[in-house]
Amino acid sequence: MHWSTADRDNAEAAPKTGRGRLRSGTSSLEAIVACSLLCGVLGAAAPLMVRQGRLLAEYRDHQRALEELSNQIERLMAMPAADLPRAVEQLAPSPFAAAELPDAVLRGRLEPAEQGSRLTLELTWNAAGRADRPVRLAAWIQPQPKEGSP
Amino acid sequence: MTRRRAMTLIELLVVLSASMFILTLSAKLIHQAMRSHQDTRAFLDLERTAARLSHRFREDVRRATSAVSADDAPLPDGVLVQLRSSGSRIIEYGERDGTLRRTELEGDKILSRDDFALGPGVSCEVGRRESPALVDLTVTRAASNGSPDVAAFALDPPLRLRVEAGLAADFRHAPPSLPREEAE
Repeated sequence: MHWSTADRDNAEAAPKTGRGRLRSGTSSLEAIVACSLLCGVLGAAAPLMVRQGRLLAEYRDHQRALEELSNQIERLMAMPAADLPRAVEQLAPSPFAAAELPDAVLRGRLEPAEQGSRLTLELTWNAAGRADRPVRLAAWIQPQPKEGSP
Repeated sequence: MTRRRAMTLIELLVVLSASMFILTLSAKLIHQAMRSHQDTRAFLDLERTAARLSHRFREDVRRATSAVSADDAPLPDGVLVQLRSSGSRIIEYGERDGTLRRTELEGDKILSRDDFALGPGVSCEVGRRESPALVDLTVTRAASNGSPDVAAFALDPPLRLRVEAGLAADFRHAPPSLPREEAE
């Protein structure tokens, strides 16, 4: 290749890097770093999506557990007060909840409160971190008003 | 020493292939993220509707003094249950085209309407129990692919909801002169 004097002058006048070399593209190292960063971001985003799916499933289970506890409290509150202690001891999850929440276990506690008694129900099921973190719901049962009372 | 002023064809092909691979991965990830956003929104909408329905149905049953279902008496088309309270006030729950409608009536006059959009293919049932007096509502909907799997989220997620409420429960602890007598 033959360069004219003018070409040679232009080439010498072209911008140079700090080390005095012409920069005509990206180095392999830069390309590898860029690819690694991109792959890192992609790799971090994929598990986040999986985690989000699990979070939605947990939310749904929690809502169904709350519905089940509300239903059980409605049933217990509709019973005569005398039958309540025995019913609390024999508590079991409904077939509907048992189908939704695997290995669901329902427990109840009836305690005297300032006025009437306090009924606490808790539900656990087979899910990560649920055994020591049950869903609890409490209700207060007021004594029945007597006939003729204001 | 000769100066290198361009890329070879092999280098160009390698760079293009690498760029294509990374672009494909990015496009898939973006598509997945958008789909996930839509699914989450559909799921949360349905859950919010279910929670609102559950709260409203429980409140209505607790305030009603009697409940009439299609098994007890002929009801208007699409109506699942009529909840009657003191006076001539009636609350109807009916299902049509994937929407559960709550209508509040005073005689023949419609006082209010509330729609719960549950999506196509929804099945609603109302049951009654006498002792203790309970009314239950069961809502079931399978996922678009027919799977009842609760983890299979899609644009129309599955739903399984059961709400039970004690009839006239709000009057249970009221003085005997209040509507409790009507319930009995």
